[in-house]
Amino acid sequence: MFRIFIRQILNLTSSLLLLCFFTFVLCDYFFPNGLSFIVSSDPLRISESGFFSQSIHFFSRFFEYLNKLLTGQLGLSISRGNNISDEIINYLPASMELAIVTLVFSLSFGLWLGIIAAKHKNKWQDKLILSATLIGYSLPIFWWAMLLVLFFSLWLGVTPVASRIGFEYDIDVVTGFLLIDSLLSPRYALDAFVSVIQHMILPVIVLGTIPLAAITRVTRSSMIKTLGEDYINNAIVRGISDFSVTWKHALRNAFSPILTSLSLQISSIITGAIITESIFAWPGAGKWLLEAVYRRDFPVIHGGLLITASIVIFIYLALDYISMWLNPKLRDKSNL
Amino acid sequence: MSTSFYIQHQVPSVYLKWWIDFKKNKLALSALVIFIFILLVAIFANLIAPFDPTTQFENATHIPPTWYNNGDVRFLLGTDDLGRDLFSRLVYGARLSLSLASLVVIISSIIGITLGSLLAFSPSWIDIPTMRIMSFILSLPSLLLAIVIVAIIGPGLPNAIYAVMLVLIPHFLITTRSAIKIELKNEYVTAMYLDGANKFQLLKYSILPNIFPSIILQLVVAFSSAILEIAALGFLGLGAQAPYPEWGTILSESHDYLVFAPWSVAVPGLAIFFTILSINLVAEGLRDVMNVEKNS
Repeated sequence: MFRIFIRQILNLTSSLLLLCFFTFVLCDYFFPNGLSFIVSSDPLRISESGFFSQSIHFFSRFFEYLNKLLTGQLGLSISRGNNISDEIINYLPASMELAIVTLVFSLSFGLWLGIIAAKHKNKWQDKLILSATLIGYSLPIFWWAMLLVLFFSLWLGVTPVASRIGFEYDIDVVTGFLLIDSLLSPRYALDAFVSVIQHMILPVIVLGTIPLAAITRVTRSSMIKTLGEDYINNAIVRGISDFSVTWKHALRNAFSPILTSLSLQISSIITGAIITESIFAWPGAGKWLLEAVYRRDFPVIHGGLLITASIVIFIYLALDYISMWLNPKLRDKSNL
Repeated sequence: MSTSFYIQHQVPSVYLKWWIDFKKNKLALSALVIFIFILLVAIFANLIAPFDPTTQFENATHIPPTWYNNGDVRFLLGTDDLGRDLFSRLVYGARLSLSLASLVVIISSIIGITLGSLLAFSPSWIDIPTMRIMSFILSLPSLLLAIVIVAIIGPGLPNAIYAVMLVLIPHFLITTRSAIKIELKNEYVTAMYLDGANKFQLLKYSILPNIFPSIILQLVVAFSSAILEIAALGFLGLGAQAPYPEWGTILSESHDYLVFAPWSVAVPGLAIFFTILSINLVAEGLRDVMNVEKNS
């Protein structure tokens, strides 16, 4: 276990270093001036004095850059003049809230549907779920979002069109997660919380469709394999309840491929979040990043890429640990 | 041979056997038919489309499809906000999307497969660092990477194509490299190596034919993701720009008129959806036929 821990730490640092080097080369090559914006906290002074000019050696520039990143300085946004680290702290919770709720949604429904399909293998339930997942997998999510808005918001009028919360509510920011903040603020009782939930339904469905389809399919195939094992038959024969057999005995053994597919879906959720946030005017990091691209606000793009990629790296690390926790066989595998 | 007395055992070739198995899967077969139909529409776009995709009919903006009460017979699927025939735009859009996606897939597969083969045969001090970099790139969200590339080199169709190409190359590279690495452990490869085959001969005669199924599958999957990604970039305004009849661009133009021209949103989306669905179903059928395990 200790060797694996060391290995993980090395992997993590090398990935992060690689990421920093990648972003550094991008900035350095394409935007030498942009880089001075990132490295300095006062763009005007630095570009005048030529503090970060090309005459300094490449690696000393890189170490200077790393030094700035380690102290948490990401520079100033060109278009707004704000500190980028502050902007990220403002926008990230909205995205994380969306992503977490989506993950919970797609994981819970995906496991449930996948298990139903696996238990009724080749019956109509299975066929229905399988074809639904194929359809879900093929939906272009920007179109799917517009269809849902058209149907539920414009024709039926049951869900709001955009934003995170009704404009009449004024919630104090405590954690940045509106689901929590709206409960913490006593002014509106439960109204604000209901409003947050209503605003969340459509984005979560849109963002969750592809992960849901993927998780359902993996759960189905993995559960079919596991439910055919001898120890499952043994558990059934011993009179263990059906619920306990599927959810405790089979699911835990079938979970490893599901976790792998989940880690692949993380990047699909981040990709989808950029599109979903821009359609639903969700004030999150994806929309922020996209707007920076429109304005060609390079320091913001740089900061967004760096933060998103580091989050992805940390999520992969966490998923590695979860899979080792679930599957002891992986713990002493040397080539992890 | 009807004159022959004995029952002749004809062993079908591998490809024929795949096709025979594939035909049994009715869903995959109908998906293939739909995909070929879309392909034909794309190829003969100039014969099928009644109008040029950029011709504007100034007095016929926002006409609903023909089957609506206030529809116009000339415009089968209606017109958009500038009075351009939606059907013609979609048909030309099919040509644009499919040709761009095939271009992207062909170029990135050639680069990716070549580099992947080179990597599989190179010493570990090249192989391991390159694989780390590639799996790192693969772990980044593909659209995010494409957006960042477009942001650096500027929006526009050619740049979006480069971005999608760059994003797809690592997929091909890793698939090819790991497939070759698995094949290299097989005994028939060792036998051929002991017969004195050099690395190129090994690759050409014994490995490539055996990893062919997974490469084909990767090509099909990459094709659908290329279509989706080009459309997504077009939708976000970073890919094909306004006058081009690209599917994603058409969708983003009609997004503003969602309330009173819902058909102009529904129809282009359906085109993308059916194309992707048919490709995915074909991929599913191929995966069953060729016994390729779903690679992560």
